[in-house]
Amino acid sequence: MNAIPVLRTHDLSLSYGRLRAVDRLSISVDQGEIYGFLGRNGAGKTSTIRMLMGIVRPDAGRIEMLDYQGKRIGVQQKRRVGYVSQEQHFYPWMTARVLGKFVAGFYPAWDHAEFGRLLSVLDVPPDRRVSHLSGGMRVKLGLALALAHHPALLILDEPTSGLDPVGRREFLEIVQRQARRHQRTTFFSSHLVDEVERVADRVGILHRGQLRYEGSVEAIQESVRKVVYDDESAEVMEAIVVTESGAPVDDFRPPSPSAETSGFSRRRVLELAATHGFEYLRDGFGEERAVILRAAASQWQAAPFPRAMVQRLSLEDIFIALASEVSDDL
Amino acid sequence: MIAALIIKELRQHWLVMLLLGFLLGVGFLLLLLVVLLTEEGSLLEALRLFLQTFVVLALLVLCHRLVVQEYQGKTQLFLEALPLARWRMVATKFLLGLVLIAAIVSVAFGLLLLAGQRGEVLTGRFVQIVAARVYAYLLCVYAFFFVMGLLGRYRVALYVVGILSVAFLETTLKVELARFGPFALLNEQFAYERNVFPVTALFVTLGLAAMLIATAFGLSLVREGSVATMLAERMSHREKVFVSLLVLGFLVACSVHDEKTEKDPFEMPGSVAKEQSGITVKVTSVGKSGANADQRLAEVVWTELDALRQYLQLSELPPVFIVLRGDLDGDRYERGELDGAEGVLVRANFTSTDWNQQDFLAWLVREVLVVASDERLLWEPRRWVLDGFALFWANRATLQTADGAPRTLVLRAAYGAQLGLKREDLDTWLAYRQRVGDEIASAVAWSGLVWVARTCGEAQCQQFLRAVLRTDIPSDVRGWWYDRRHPWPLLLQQTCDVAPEDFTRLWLAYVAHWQRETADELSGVPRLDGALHFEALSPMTYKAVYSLTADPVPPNGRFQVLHGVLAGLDVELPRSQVACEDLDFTDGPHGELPGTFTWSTRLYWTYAVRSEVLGCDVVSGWRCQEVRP
Repeated sequence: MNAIPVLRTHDLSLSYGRLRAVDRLSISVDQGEIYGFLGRNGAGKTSTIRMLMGIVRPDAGRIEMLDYQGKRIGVQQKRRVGYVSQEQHFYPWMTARVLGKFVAGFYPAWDHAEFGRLLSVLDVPPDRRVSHLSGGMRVKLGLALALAHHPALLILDEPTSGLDPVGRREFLEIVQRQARRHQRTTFFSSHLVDEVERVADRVGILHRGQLRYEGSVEAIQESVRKVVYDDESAEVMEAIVVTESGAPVDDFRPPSPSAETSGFSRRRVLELAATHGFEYLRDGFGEERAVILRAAASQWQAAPFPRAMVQRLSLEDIFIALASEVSDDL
Repeated sequence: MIAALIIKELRQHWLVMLLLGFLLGVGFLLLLLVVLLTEEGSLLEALRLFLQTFVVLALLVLCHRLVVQEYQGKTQLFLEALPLARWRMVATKFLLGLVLIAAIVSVAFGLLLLAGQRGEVLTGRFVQIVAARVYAYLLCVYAFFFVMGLLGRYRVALYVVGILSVAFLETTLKVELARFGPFALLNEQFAYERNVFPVTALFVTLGLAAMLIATAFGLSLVREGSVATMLAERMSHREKVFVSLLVLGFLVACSVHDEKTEKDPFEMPGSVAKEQSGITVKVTSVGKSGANADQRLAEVVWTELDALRQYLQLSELPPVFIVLRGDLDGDRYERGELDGAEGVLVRANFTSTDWNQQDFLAWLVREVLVVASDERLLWEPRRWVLDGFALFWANRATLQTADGAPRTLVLRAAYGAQLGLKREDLDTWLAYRQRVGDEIASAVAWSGLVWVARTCGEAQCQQFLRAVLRTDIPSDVRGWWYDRRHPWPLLLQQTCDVAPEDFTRLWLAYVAHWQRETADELSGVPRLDGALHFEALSPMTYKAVYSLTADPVPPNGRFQVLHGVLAGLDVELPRSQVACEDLDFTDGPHGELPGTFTWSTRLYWTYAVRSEVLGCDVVSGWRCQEVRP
C-alpha cells in the first residue's frame, strides 16, 4: 500500500533577524506514522512547529497539510490538528473541565465524552484549577485537549521535557497507543533520542535549521556506522613500506593484537572512504580510534574495510554524529 | 468561536467588571448629587464630569484586565495555538471592552436625559451633539488605554511621562489642551451647545482614535504578535534603572526648560518705578496718594532689596510691583497672581494711618525670597530660618545695641517657647506654626537667629543665612537633593561651628532668660483651649458648635474663630481664604458659629484672641476637622 503523506514541507525557511532558524526544510510525514523530529536545543524544532501550526509565517517555502497547500496554515486546518506545546500556557484560574468547555468552542468536532474519558484515563482531576496542577498533569491535560476533537494529525512539541522518567514513559505509551489505535499521524519533536527511538517509525534529524537525515531508525543505523582503526601498527607498517620499496605490501601482517584493524591508520580510512563515496561525519567519541561515516546500505556491503572494523551505532550516537560540527578533514 | 472567547473574558473578569459597574454607578450618582447641589445649569454636567474622572479610571482598569493580564500571563500564546486568527482575538477584546463601557455610559446618559426632560429643552439635535461628543471621546480614550496595555512593561513609565508632558505643555508652553480633540469635546459647552456640532474636535478625536486603533492592531499583529509579547515581559533590573533615568531626565529637562523660559515683564500702567542694578520696584496708587508718596515707597523698597541682595549675596531678585488697595487694613498685605509674568505683585494699603513700613518690609522681604527661590525656601526642613529671617532682617539694627531686641518680639518668642519648643519642631516647623500661630512662630525663629548672631558673631550668622537662603538652587528634584546633602544643622556647624544639639539647648536657655524676665507680662496673655463639633441641619448641611475656655479671659471679652476649607491636599491655606468670625465671651463658652458647613468638607480652624501685650493674635492651635457628626 502506498504511503499517503499527511504533512509535507518544501524548502521551509524562517529567520529571526540574522539568525536562520529553519533553512530550506523539506520533510514528509505519512498517514498513521509516528514521526520523531530530533534536534538539539535551538536546532529549529519549535520554530518549525510554530510554522506548521500557523502561529508564525515562514519566510519562504510551502506547507502541505491534510488537504491544504500554501504558506500559512489557516483556521480550517488547525481544527483538524491536535497540538501540545512545549510550555503549557493555560489560564490558571480555569479547571480542566472549564478549559475543555472553552476549547470546545473552537473545534466543531469536539467530543465532550472523549475529553472526559481522556481526563479519566490520563488521571487528570477535572475540577482542580490549572494553577494547582503539577507540570506532568498539565502536559497530560494538554494531550487530552489535543486529542478530544479527534485530530487527523497530532503535533507534539517536546511535550515530555519537563516530566520525570516515569511520567515520560507513561506519556509516550499513551501517545503510542493513541497513534496505533486510531491510526493517528503523530509528529513528535524531542531532543531525547531514547524516547524517539522507542516510539518513532521514522525520524528527521535537524541541525542548525537544516535537515540532516530523514528516514526510519533501522535505515539510519544501516547508513551511519563507525570504522575502527589502529594507528600504532599502521605507523610501523607505513614506515617499513616507505623505507623498503615505496609501494604498499599486500601480504604484510603486523604483529598486533587485532589483526583485522592493523594496517589501517586514520588517514588511510579517510582516504578509502573518500575514494568510495563515504561521507565523513566525525571521529569516534572520546579517545576512541574510529571515524563515523555515512553511506547507503549497499555501499557498506562493498566497503573497502575489513568487516570487523565496521560497527553499528545506537541512534543516540548517530544523532550526536549528525548534530555535531563536521570536521574539514575530508 | 468568538462566543467562546467572549464567554471566557466574561468568566475571567466578571467580578472586576461587576465591581467597576458598581463603582461607576456610585461615582455617577455622587457627581449627579454634586451637580444638583451646586445648581449647575444642566444635569448633563454630571455626565461630563463622569467621563473626565470615573470613566477614565474605569478604562484604565478595564484595559489592564483585558490586555495586560492576558499578555503578562502569556496566555495569548495558548490562544494563538487554537484555531483562531490573532486579529479576531484582539478585535474581540477591543470590542468587548468598548461595548461594556459604552453600555455603562449609555445608561448614565439615558438616565440624565430622562431626568433632564423636566427642566431642560432636549431637542433631537442637542441629544445628537452630546451623543457625538460622548461616544467619540469614549472611543478615543478607550483606544488610548488599549494601546497602553499593549505597551506592556513600558506603560507605567509612559503614563508618568504622559502626565508630565501634559503638565509641561499646559503650564510651561501654555498650550491649551482643553481646545484640542478629545479634551475639546468635553469643554464647558458640552452641556449647553445645542445647535453646532464641534466638527473639528470630532474629526481630530476620531482621527486620533483611528490612529490609536491602528497602533493597537499593529502592535498585536506585527511580527506575528511577537512585539506585544516581548513588550509584556517583565523589566530587567537594568531596564528599570534605564527607564527611571529616562523619566528623571525628562523631568529635569522640563524643569530646566521652565527655568530658561523668559516670561514677559508685568505691565503696570501709571506706576512710578525705581530700576537700578537689576532691581526693579514699581508702585502705583492710581493717583490716590500722589506720585511723590509712590516714589518714596519705591525708593525705600529698592534700598531695602538692594541691601538684602548684598547681605545674602543673591545674584538677582524678582521685580516687585506694589499696588495700593484702600480697603485693606494697614497691617494686612496680599500677594497677587502674575499670570505669565515674573515678579512679586503686592497689594497693600500704604496710605492707611496704621501703616507700619518696617512691618511691611519684613513681610515683603520674605515674599521676595520665596519668589526668588521659586518657593523652594518654603520647604519644611529650612522653613524656620526663612520665617525668622524676615524679622531678623527688619530688626537688624537692634543687634548693634547691647540688649536692644524689640520688646514685642522678645515677648512673642518667650511666649512661644513657653508653649513648648523642641529640637524636632525645627524640622516639622509647619506643625509648630499651626500650634502656636504664625506671628509667635516667626518670633521664636527670629530669637534663634538672634542667638546665632550674638553668640557666634554677625559675620558667621551672615554666612549661615547665605548658605541656607540660597535662591539659585532649582526648586525641583535637584533642590530636594541639595537640601538633603546640605541640611541646615550641617550648614550651621560649617559656618558657625555649633553642633545642632548644642544650638537648641543654648538657644532655649537664652530664651528662658527672656521668659523669666517677661513672666509678669506673659501671665496676662490668655491661653486658649477649645473644641468644635458639628450638628446636622440636613443630610448635607451642618452647623458648627464651639466650646472655648480662655485663661485669663481677654479684657475686651472678644475672641475669633478663624476657619477655611481645605482642598484635597494639605497645602497651606492663604490668609485671604481664611474667614473670621468675631464673637463675644459674654455669650458664654458655648455657641454656634454663623453660617453652615457642607458635609464631608475639611475645615481648618482655630480660636484666636488678640493680645495687646504681644501685639498679635494668640491661637488655640490650628486643627483640621472633617464636617460630620
